[in-house]
Amino acid sequence: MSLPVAGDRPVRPPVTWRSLQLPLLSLAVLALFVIALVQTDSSPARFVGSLDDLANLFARMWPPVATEWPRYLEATWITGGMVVAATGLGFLISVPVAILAARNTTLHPVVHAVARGLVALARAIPSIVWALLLVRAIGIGPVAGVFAMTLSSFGMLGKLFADAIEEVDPKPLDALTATGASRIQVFVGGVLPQVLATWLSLSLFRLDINVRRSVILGFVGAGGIGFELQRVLGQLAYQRAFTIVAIIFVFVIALERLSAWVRSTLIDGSVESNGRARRSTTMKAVAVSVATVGFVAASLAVGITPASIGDAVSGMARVAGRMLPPDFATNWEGILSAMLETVWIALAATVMGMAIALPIALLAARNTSPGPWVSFLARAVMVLQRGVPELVLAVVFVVAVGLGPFAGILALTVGAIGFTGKLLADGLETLPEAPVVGLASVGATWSQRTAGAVLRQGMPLIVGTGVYTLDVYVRAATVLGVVGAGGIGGILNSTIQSHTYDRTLAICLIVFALIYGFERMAGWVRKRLV
Amino acid sequence: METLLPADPAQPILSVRNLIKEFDRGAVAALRDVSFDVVPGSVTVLVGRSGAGKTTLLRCINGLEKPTGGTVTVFGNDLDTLSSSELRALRRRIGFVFQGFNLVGRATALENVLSGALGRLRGPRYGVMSYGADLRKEAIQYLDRVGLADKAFQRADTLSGGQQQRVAIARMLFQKPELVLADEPVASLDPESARQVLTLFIELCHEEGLTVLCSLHQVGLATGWADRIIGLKDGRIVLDRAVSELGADEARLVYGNESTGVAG
Ligand SMILES: Nc1ncnc2c1ncn2[C@@H]1O[C@H](COP(=O)(O)OP(=O)(O)OP(=O)(O)O)[C@@H](O)[C@H]1O
Ligand SMILES: [Mg+2]
Repeated sequence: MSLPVAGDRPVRPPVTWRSLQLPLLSLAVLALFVIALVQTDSSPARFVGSLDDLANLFARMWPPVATEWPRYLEATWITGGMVVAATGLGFLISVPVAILAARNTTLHPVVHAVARGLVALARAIPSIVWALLLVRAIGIGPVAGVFAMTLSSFGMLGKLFADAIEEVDPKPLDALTATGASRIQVFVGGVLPQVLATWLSLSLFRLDINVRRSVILGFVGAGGIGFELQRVLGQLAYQRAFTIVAIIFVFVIALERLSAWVRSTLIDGSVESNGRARRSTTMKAVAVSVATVGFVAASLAVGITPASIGDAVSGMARVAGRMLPPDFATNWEGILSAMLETVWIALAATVMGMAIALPIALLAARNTSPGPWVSFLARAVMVLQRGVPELVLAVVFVVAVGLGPFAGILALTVGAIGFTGKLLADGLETLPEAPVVGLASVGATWSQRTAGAVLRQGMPLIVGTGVYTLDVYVRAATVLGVVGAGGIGGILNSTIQSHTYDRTLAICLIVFALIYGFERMAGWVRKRLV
Repeated sequence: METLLPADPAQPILSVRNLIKEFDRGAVAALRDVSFDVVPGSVTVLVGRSGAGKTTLLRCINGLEKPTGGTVTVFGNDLDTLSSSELRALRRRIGFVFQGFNLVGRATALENVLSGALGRLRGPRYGVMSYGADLRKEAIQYLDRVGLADKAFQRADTLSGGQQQRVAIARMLFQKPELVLADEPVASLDPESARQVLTLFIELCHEEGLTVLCSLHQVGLATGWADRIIGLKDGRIVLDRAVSELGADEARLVYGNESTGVAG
């Protein structure tokens, strides 16, 4: 074999702006990560120490005590009722507002703008902050929790319902209009059939989110199982707390599985063959009846009545009246440093969360996993982690390692296993398989195929998911302080406790600006990646 | 992997016996009782219509697919008895050229060629600079041999189809295999570059003295360089001749209609 001499050809890649992007980005993230750790007092020694703290806490929690089980059962039952009532109410409010908010069905451009504004307002405020305000406005109890989740559901569903209406195919509507049908007839005959399936699917998705939110709302007095958790922790009854966390875990996982089952039988099943489709039409009728009965029963059980709705409206109007004008001046240095702390928490947790989630996702994704059993186990770890929502984790970590941002960082880091891990695994499964097979054919090992083909091809996906996680975690970090896990949530909470709602509004506006800024930045980065 | 047998020049380099492959729990029979030997240094062309089982056969030979029945023996090693690390060691000695190139699109041409060496390297690699300078120099020479040294630092997915397949050929050669399997290596190229790339491929394999088993859709392309033709139809061998012994009828059958291959 005689090789022609390649002369003085360069053997290192030319340095271009593109080739520098990833190294520069990594360097910047690393630098910010270190700053975040320093600013939040999260030294490596503290991470090691936190393992001891956790072990200690578990020792104090073990064995679980369930002598009060009838109470817990009732609280869980109430929590379930809160979820169903809030999702149903959110759906009922979202439908009319979405019709007014959609450009193609609204009555007037002004109505459109007002409706969109209302929806945006409901979405801008996290559900736990709504819960804090409602507890102040109408007192502690599940009703406050229901309305808090109703408002957040409305913030999401109102927007997505309206978007769905705006995307309908206009041809059937024109045909109906041409026959002289009224506005309402056009809507019922033309728009509704096109959006209903999407609406129901979105509502089911919201139900999942509400399940995860509901278990913590009680912590601020808004009823249900979270209230029990807060009560026993106040009594330092850790063995009882263990029982309650276990109940939360089972509750969240059971409902997540149930909704996954409903989704696969009702929504995905309807595109099957004719026979199946007919069968699922009957099933749909049954499901709608069950949902309606469930909604009414749940609302009655948790105490939703026309009178309580009236109370909530007038109570919130009172609170809103005392919000104006917003007070930005009081304690602005404290607010500024708490805002920064919020960003540091989100950043540190995103970096560490990615570092944990990526390996788990590689083991979990069908096409990158070393084997089907490994994949099953990794997926199971993600599902189990999701059984403990991040605010519940934050409560546990605050007890274990003390108040402050460090507990928040730990909570969000662990939360990334289920959240970011699932996103990454699902994304990895969409990557083309050919490059991996190509490397397998030269005799490359699993780690070589993973680095050389999967990570190589998946880098935009990984960076994009990291940026998205940061976006979501900035949002999440703004409320960690409500349970004492650092960030702006602590001050926000204290302004509500002291009825200085003008300061509350100011903080909400600042938080909103921060979240909006990160959302825009995330969008920009992700657009540049594809 | 030390238990792998070295190739014995007196023995067939590849031996397939009563190979059966079914998919979907027996619903699809892709290969039904296929047997043949390949001697070292020979160039064998596998022809057959779409769905005849060519891809399945080749994938069974380097262990990307597990046979339902029968045995595949490569370099004297029965594939069925190999552990997964032995199978990897075996794959290292079998070059594979895919119809769809199977390059890592976001990596440069050079990095793709370098990845051919992964089988003899330890540990994961990411990026050209994770390979030593000597390897990089050598890989550039392989790129030069397929006429693409000037594209070394271009992303693979920005190259034309013909260029991509030439990078894949360079990767396969850089792997330094003893046996080369090629699955319709030029089927996704236009006729002009198909001829060029196939000629280059065969020339380079000849230079290295490699044993080749190459499936082709268009038999006409095999004229002049194949030693032997095996025709597959519905998972069975329907023709197996040295090209020199190919009867006039069979020759017409095989070469006559460029687009259909073996009519049966
Ligand atoms: N993974 C699979 N699952 C199910 N059936 C398969 C699978 N792979 C191949 N088959 C079937 O096996 C048969 C042989 O397929 P194969 O891909 O080997 O044919 P081929 O000769 O390579 O065809 P082509 O010229 O189109 O590439 C076909 O009927 C095909 O549908
Ligand atoms: Mg094929």
